[in-house]
Amino acid sequence: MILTIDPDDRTAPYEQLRQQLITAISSGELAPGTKLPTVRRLAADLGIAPNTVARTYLELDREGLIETRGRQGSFVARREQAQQPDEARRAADAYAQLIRRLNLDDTTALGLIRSALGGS
Amino acid sequence: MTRFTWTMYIVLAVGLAAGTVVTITRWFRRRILADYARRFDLEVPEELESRLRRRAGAPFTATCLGGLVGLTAGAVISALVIPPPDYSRQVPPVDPSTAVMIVTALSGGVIFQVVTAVALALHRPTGRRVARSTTPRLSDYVSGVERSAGWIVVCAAVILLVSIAVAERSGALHNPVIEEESVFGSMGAFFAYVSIGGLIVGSLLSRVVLHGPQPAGSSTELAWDDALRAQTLRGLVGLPLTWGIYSLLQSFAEIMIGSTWHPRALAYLFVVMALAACAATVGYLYSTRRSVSDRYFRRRLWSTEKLAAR
Repeated sequence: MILTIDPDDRTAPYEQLRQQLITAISSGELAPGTKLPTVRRLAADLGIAPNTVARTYLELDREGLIETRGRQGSFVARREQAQQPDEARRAADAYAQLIRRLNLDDTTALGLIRSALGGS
Repeated sequence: MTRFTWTMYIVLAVGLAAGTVVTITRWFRRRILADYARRFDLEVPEELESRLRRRAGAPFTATCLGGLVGLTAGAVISALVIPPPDYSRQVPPVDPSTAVMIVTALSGGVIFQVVTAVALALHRPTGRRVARSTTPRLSDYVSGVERSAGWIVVCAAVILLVSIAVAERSGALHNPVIEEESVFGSMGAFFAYVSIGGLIVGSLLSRVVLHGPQPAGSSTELAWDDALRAQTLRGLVGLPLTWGIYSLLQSFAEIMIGSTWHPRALAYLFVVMALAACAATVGYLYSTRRSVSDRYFRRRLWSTEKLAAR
């Protein structure tokens, strides 16, 4: 997968990188166990500060999307059962924001969830 | 140094100097870039054309210039330090001056080429930047056949040398010429040492090339970087293979010259070896043919990415 940093984009390079890695990991483009480039290597390739890449890796490690194994480097994490509640919580937050934007009430929102769960 | 060695030095020096001049010309570099674009199936964006021309052509210049510098250094060392060979022996030993010049010329060419390739890759594009989300390995640029062929041939050359030495000690060789001199001081042995050195140096330099960054402003530019890297890495991997083959051929020739074996058996053995060598060569050339090996890196690194093709 190709990562892109656009200096003309209003989004900070850290956020651009973080979003692209999250998308790649979530979609399976970066399979579990895949070794990510080293901080220095990725920083040199993208023309950004090593601290920016290090911060991105640290955030993704905290979110459980990657694992940093010391000198061995950083790898895409294997998705354990324990991480699913975090994903569900994030999906719920995004859904709640969408409901507020559409000005729907809580009853309607919950009804939609129940019918979706009942249908699957 | 002997007259032969001086003549060899002058001929090689003139050739390498001429090569350096030719490879600097715009005409040569345009042709090389066009050839690469066709072989790698990559387009040449206008904004990258002059930089790609330099990156494609400069390693050739560096190889010629480095070879010339190494050759001259070898000639100076030989003239100042190395005594002439002893030709009173029936089989002349390897002329140390020739050996030194070959090794220093090769070393100079390879080192200059790799340093140039790495230095030119350090360009820092401004604006948008792209990078791969994984770190490519040697196996992404050079096929398994090419990577292992060098090791196999060099091991075969060393095994052959040891076998000759054991056969000579046990008296099974029937070759009074070889019994006169040490097997490990022969020309076949010299080429084997150079090929072993090539394996070691090639492995070290390959790591330098692989660990270097790949700054690029677009996927096409990154693909070009991969293509030129693949060329450098395949050259490093191919060098010990070439010298290993020379070692095998030289050692076999040294066994047969002066041998007192039954002539018919020797002839049969020669035919079998020649057929085996031809079959191995055809198999190797077929599996590493240009259309396959030139685009190997594309299949490994760019099969799922969209890339502007010719």
